[in-house]
Amino acid sequence: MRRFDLKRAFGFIVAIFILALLPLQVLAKSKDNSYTNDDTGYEAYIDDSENLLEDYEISDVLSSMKSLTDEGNVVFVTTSLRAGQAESFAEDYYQDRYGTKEPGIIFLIDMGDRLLLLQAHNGLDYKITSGKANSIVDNVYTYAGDKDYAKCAESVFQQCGSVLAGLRIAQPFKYISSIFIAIILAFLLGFFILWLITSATPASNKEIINGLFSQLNILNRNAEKTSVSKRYSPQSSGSSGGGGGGHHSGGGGGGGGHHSSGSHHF
Amino acid sequence: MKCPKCGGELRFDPAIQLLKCDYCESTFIPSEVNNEAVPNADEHTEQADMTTADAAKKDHMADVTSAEDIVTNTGIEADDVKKQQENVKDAENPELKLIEYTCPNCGGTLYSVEESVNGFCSYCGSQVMLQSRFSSMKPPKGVIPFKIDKNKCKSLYEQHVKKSFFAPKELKDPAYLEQFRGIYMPYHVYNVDLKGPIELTGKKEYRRGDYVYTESYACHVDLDCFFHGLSYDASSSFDDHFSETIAPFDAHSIVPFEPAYLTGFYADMPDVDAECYAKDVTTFAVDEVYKKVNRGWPAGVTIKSDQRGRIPVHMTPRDIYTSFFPIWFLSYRKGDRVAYAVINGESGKISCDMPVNTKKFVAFCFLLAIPIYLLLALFLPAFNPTSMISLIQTLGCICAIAMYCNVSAIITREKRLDDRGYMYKYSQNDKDIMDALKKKEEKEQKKKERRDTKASDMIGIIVGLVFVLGQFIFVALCAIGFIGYKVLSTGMLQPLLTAFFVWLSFSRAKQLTEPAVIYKGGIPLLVAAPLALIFSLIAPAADPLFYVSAAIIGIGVIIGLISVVGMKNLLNTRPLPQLAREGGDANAPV
Repeated sequence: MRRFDLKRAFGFIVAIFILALLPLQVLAKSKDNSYTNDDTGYEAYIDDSENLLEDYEISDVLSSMKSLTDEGNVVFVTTSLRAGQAESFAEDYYQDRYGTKEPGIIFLIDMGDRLLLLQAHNGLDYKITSGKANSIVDNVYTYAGDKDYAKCAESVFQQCGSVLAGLRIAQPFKYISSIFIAIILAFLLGFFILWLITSATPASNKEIINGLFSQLNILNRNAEKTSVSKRYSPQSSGSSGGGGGGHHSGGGGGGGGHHSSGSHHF
Repeated sequence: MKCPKCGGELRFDPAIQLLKCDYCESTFIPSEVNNEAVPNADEHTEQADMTTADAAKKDHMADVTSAEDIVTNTGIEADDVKKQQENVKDAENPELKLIEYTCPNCGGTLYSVEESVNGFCSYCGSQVMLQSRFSSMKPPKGVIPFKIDKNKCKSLYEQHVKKSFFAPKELKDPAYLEQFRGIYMPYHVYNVDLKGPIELTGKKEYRRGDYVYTESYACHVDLDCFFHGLSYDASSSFDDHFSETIAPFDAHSIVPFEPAYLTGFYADMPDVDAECYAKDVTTFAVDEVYKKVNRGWPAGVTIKSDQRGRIPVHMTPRDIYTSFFPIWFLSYRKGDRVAYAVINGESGKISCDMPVNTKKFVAFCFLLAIPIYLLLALFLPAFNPTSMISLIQTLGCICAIAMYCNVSAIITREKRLDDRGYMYKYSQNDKDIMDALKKKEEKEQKKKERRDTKASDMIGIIVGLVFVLGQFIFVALCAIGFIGYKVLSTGMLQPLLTAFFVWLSFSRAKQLTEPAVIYKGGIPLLVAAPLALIFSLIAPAADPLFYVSAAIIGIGVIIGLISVVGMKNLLNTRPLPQLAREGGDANAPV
C-alpha cells in the first residue's frame, strides 16, 4: 500500500508542476513582448499576431519603445482587418487594455487593408496631433512597402520620441508642395487685384435718369375686383422644418477618452 | 474763327465756357461770334455785378429768345422742358464747313473747323502726318461744350494711372499725356414719352383656414411720364464699352450747336443709324415706368407679370436728334496693339484700357507668394502626398478655366461682339456678328422672362422648399460635398477637366489675331496634368516620384498662369483699327 501511494503522489506532484509551469512559460514569453517602466508604471507592448517580426527584431523594436514609456503606454499591434475597421479596432484595443484615462500611443499595421495607423491617446494627442501622426506615417510607409516592418515600427517610435521631446520632425513633402501652392495662389490673388483695378462699371439707371429731363407720374390708380376663386389647400401639420432629429458627438471616443490619429496605406 | 478785335485765333475755353482770343485774351459768347456787334462778356460782368462768365452769358441772353439757357435742374415745368427741347430740335444750322483729317495707316478720320498741324493719329496711335482735305457735313442739332480742359484731363488721368501698379511706365510720362485730344463724339439723343391710360390685370391671394382665395382685379392707371435726353453714341469707331462706362452725359447741358464750340477741338461724324438703339431706349423707359407701376397698389394687390407690352410708348423720328458730346481721347500704341483712354469732357469720368507690364506683375506675384507660403507652412495640415498632388491639380483646373474665360473675353473684345453700334453697322457682312447679335437678343429675352417672374414669388417658393425639405437638402449637400471631396482627393478628375478646358481654349484661340500666347501657356499645362497623375500612380510607395509629380504639375500650372498674364494684355488692349470709310455719312440727316 505504501508503494502505490508513493507512485500516485509522485505523479500528482509532476502533474501539478507541469500545469503550474505552463502559465509561467506564457508569461515568460509575454514578458519578451512587453516592458514596464518601473518609475511611471507605463507599459510598452508588442502584439504581433501577424508574425511580421522575427524573434530578434522584437527586442529591437521593444527597445525603441522603452523611452516612450516615460510619457505613456506604447503598443505595437499587427492584425488583419477589413477596410475601414482599423481606426475603431485600434481605439478599442487601447481602451480595453489601458482604459480611457491613461495616456499612450498605439501603432497598428493592418495587413488586410495594407494600412499603417498611429493613434495617440489621452493627453499625448495634444503633442502628437493628427497632422503630425499623418506626417510620421508618411515618412515611414516606404519601409512597410519594402516589408521591413521592424524598421517601420522603430522609425515610427523614434519620431514619436522626437515629437514628445518637442523636436520638429521633417515634413519635407508638405513644405515643397506648399511652394507651388503659394505661387499659384499668389497669381490667382494677383489676377483678382488686377480685375479690381481695371474694371469699370457702366452707369446705373439711377445715374442715367439723374442726367435726363424725366418725369414719372403714375396717376389715378384704380383696382376693381372682377372675380374671386378659392382652392382647397390644407395646411400640413408636421412641416415645421428640420432640426431636432438627433445628434451625435464628433471626434474622440464615445466614452470619455480622446485621441489623435494618422494613417497611410502601403 | 478770328477775333473781331485783333484778328487772332479764337478757341473755346472750357474753364470759362467762352471763346477766348489767343492774342488779346478777349472773350466772346459762342453764339454771337459771327455778329460784328458782339458784346464783350467782361463788360457785362461789371455792369451786372456778377462774377461768373455763365451768369454774364445769361444776363446777356435775357432779352434773346434763344434756347441757350437750357442749363437748369429738373423740376422745371413740363412746358418749359418742351420749349427747350423744341428749340434744340428745331435749330436750323447751315451746312458745316470742315477740314477732314485721315490717317494713312488705319483710315481713322477726324474733323475740325480749323487747320492745325497733326503729327499723330488718335485711333491707331501712329506718329504720322494726317492727310487733310476740305469737307462739309450737316451739323448736329445740339452740343455739350467741353467743361474739362486739357490740364484737368491730364491730372484726372494721372491720378487714375497712379492707382494702376502694373501699368507700363510710358503711360505716366508727361510727354505722352500731351497727346490727349479733345474730340466731339456724335451721339443720338432720344426723347420718349409714355403717356395715356393703361389697363392691367392684378391679383391678391390670401388664406383662410384650409382655403386659398385668389381675387382678380382690373387695374387702371394713367401714365404721364417722359424721358428726354437718353443718348447713345452714333460712331462705329467709338466702342460702346467706353460710351457706357463714361456715361452719363447731362442732357441739361445740351445747347444748340454752334461751330464756334469746335474751335480747338476735333469731331467725329455719325455713321450708325438711330434705329440701332431705338429698342434699347424704349426698353429702358418701359422698364423704369413698369417698376413704378408695379408698386403702390392698394390693399395688397399685385400686378401679374409680363404686362410691359401694354405701356404706350411714343417716339417719332422728330424726337431723335444728333448732338456732339465732349470726350478727351488718348491712344497708346505698343507694337500692333493699341490701348485707349477716354475721359468724359463734361463730368470727368474716366475709362481706359490698362495694359499690364508682365515683368512687374510676375515679380509682384512671386513676392506675394512669400507671405502666403509662410501662412501655409504654419497652418496647412500635413496631408498625405496624394491629397497634396490633387490639390495642385485642382488649382491647375482653375487655371485652365481662367484661361478659357480669358480667351472668350478676348474674342468678344477683338471682334467687338459687345459693341452694338459696330455690330449694327457691319452685321450684314459678318456671320460671327450676326450670330452674336442673335444670341444676345435671346439672352436678353430670357433675362426679361426671368425678371418678370416676381422676385417675391421666387423667394416664397425657395423658402417653402427649404422649410419642408430642409433636412433632406442638408443631408444631400453633405453627401455631395463628401463624395466630391473623395473624388477630388484621388486627383483623377482634375487632369480630365484641365485637358477639356485647355482644348476648348485652343479651339477658340484660332479666332484671335495673336493665338500664340494661348498655345504657349496651354501646352505645358495640357502635358503636365496627366503626366503628374501618371507619376503619382506608377509607384505610390516611392517618395522621389511624388516630388517629381508635384514639380511637374506645379511648374505646368505656373507657366499656364504666366500665359494668362499675357492674355490680360490682349484683353486690355485692342488690335490696330481698320477704319477706312467709303463715302461715309457726311450728309446724313441729323
